[in-house]
Amino acid sequence: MSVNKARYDSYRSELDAVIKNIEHVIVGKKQISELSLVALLAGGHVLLEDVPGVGKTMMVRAIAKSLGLQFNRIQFTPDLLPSDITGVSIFNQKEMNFEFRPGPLMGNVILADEINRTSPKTQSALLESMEEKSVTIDGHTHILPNPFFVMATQNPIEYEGTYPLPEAQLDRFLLKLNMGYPTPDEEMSILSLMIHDHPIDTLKPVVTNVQLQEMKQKVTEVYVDDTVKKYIIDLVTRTRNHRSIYLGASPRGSLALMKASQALAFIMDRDFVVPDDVKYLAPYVLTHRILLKPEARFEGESAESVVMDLLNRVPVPIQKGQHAR
Amino acid sequence: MPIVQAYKVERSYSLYSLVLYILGFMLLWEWLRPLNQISSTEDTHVFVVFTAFLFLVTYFQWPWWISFPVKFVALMYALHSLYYPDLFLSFQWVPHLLGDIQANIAMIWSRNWTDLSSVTRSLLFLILLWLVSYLMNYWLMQTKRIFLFLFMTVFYITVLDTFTPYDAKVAIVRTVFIGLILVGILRIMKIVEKEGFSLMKGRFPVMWMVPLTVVIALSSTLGLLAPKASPQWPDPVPFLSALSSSGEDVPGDGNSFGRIGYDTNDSRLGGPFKFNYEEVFTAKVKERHYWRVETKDTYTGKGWETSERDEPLFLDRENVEYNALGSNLIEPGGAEMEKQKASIKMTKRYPFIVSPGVITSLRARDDVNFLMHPQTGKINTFSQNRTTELKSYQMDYELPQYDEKKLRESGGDYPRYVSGLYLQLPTKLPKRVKQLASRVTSKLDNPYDKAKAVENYFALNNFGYDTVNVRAPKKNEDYVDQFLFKAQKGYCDNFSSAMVVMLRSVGIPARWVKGFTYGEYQETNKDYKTYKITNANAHSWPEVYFSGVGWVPFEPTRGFSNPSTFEEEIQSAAAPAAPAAPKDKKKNEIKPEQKEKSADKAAKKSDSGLNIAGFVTLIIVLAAVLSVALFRKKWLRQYYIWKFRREKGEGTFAEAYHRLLYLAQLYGLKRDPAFTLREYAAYVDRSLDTKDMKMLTSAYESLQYGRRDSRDYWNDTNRKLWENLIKSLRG
Repeated sequence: MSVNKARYDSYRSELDAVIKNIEHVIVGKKQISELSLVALLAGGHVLLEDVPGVGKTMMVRAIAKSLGLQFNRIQFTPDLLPSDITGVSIFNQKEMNFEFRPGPLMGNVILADEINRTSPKTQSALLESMEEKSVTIDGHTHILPNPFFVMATQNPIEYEGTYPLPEAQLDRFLLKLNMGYPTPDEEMSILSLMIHDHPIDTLKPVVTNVQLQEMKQKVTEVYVDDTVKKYIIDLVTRTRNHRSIYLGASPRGSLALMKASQALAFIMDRDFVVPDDVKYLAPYVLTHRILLKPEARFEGESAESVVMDLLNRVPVPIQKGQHAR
Repeated sequence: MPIVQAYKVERSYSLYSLVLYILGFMLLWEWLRPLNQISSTEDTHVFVVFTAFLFLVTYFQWPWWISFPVKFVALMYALHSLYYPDLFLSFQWVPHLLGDIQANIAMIWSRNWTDLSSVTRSLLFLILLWLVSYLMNYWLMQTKRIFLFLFMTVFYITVLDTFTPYDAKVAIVRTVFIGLILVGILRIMKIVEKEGFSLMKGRFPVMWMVPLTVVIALSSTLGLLAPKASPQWPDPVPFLSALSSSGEDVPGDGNSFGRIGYDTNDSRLGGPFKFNYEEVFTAKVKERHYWRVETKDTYTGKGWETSERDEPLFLDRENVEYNALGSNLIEPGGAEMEKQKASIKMTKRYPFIVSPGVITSLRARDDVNFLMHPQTGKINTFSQNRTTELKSYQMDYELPQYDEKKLRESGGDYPRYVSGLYLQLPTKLPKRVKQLASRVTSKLDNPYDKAKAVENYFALNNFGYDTVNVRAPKKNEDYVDQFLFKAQKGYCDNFSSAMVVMLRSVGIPARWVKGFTYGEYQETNKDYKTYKITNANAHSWPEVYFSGVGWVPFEPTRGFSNPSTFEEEIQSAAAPAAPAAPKDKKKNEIKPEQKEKSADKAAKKSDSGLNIAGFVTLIIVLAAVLSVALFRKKWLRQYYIWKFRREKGEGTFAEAYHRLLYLAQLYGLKRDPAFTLREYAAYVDRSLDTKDMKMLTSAYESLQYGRRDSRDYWNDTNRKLWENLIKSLRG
């Protein structure tokens, strides 16, 4: 145990540094930065649903900079074509052949801004690349760089002229997060912080890519006890027969919940998952994977409230051999 | 006493607790007050003083190793002052007491409740008081809730008021007044405890007490003075008895229901009956006892008949022939006789006299003659050569006090008129009856012990008392044989007939007596107590002849206690060391009172078949169970600490942790099943104001959800955390 602990300690300092870096730029959003790291370490992607101007871009840039990763931003518009993001082959007249010009997708950390503004064709190109970690153009498969982390944003207010993401595609995001407005105190310190230069310009990488890869490897080694797995499965299966839910979460949901829990446990300096990890992450992992019945929506229920309701009901296993029923 | 002072310092608002203890004691006193009325106990003050002492000792809050011995000595002193005339410090009474207890423990094991001595009963009652005082202390000081007890007290008093002669008019006012003040004080103490402020000197009590007392006094006065509606329901007692006696009066044809009552024809016994509570007569006596009417000598195999051989005799009412009565009830010098007087008022008219024992003179209407049948002992009343019924009569009589030693020494040489009449058995009597009797008595060498053995045989072999589910014997069946070997349950006729027949079969003369039990206590006037005897008190029992002594009554019927004349024998038997004669005599004199002293509130019930000692034991068992249930948290806590201190090994930590969870739930820290351990730990820590649960839980988590070797986890650190948590749990 002591050996394990020492190893985690070494990562602990780096993880702390990353979070500190992000906090340097984004005031008071430690939870969101942590959750973003969870998604990154678990190899997943994040859907940020929020109004403009709360610092989504800044946070993604801060993560990218702290990890020394290449950051690309794609502003989705209705006329954006798939090739505009993946890249395109251009005929080189000098060399008389087609030459691949990589698009903005060919980066480590991608901010896909207002993803619901673009056509489903372009959306699916993005989501496919997220899942496959590669793009195929003109019969050539181009492997995307590693790590590949997409943070897509959606504006929950404006729906005119948007193409809402279908259920199947929402499923591809590991977590769905909400930034929310800062508190007045936090906003005060934001103003003081930004009065001269933007701090993002001074941010230095604190983790190397190699270390990041190591960490990702370690995350997969975090132990998940059978009782915890049962708890996850119990939660997810309950979404499938809840009275307010029209469509429950898929097995991909269980998998996502487990992977995210592993990453969270790792960040929390543990080599095993506890039910608290699961309970904490469940709203972020499950809400975008379930569809409410219309009548439930009319009654004022939301995906969040239903998931919270489930969490308040599913018994937590606290004993070996005891399985949640 | 330095110890007292040391503990006084620790105690906060001790004035309050003094008031609480006094009020609590007064509430408990209400339970003891009716005892001397409903059970004719004269020495209730001993119990009251004992209880007061218990409360006083509890108030001082001495450690248990001081208070326990002090209370124990007090208990012994109370017991001593009730029963033993010699000096307390002489300790001569101790061997008697120990011998008595030893004998009675054996009886308790054999469930022979009816024979328990009064010393043991009083001891059990004192222990019960002790337990109750503990319970009161718990209610007053720990939980600060008394309402349940108050409610029980009110219930108890009202029940007594309804069903017994006890008049609870004042008691109920007192109880409600005391109880409400108690509840009010406990409430303020609870608030003080909850809010965590200390009582300011002098000011707070006045601020709280004055309005409390005024409000309670006002409302009580108002309640007393207010006009009251008449009862909506009829008085339940006559209603209930009317209900129970409304059955059809069918003449006994075997298996149909008959009614118990006095009936002159006993030639065919058996079959079920219903109790009939019609009053027969009331008797004013100093001491209760059975009432004889007549005896029968011939057992036919179906019932009892009389072989009328001698002519009836006229009795001189001023001087009833001592020996003429009841075929030598007592041989001259056979027992010490106690002079008594009785006055009888008949409700039902019967042409015969009920007799308490050896009558010396009778007083009644002048025109009445008394005619006695020498064999049966029945005294009929005649006026101008026709049977007549008396409304009332008085008598002087003597109650025999049997000496057990004399009974044991009595041999087998019987006068001819005894052996001629009272060893009769039918020729058709099945052999196994005699075989059984021989087996029961074979190891004993004197008639008295043999008789006792047969008397106890039924109780030891679980014969039941039943008046309903009993079948009359078939045509070819013997009444006693059917009871002994088939039914093994029945009522007085069965038990008494069986005892007589069994004794006769082993050569001991015995006869069958009919009469009444002592009836239901009504009231006390000067020294005389009034008893009401109803048809339900009709009874039968055996009398056994001992040469040199006379006829001695026994009581084999389950659920009935011996006629009082007999308990004394057991007393002197239990104290064999009792020396010289004069002292013995003194003993005998105080005995009848002792019997009453021991009586608790249930004592009165004994004539209706409920046994007192069983009741007391039941209450003690209930109290014990209750205290276990009430204090189970504390006990569990201690037990777990003790248990896990010595346990090591793989599963120990997990088990200890789960015990802690269980205990915390008992103490009201409920864990929602959807709570994770951390959430629960945070909740517990918040409630107990510690951080231990969080630390302990994080250790448990790595054991439960991580892959860890559990053996290392039950280490000193974790055990200390665990113990601290267990200790900090509070009700």
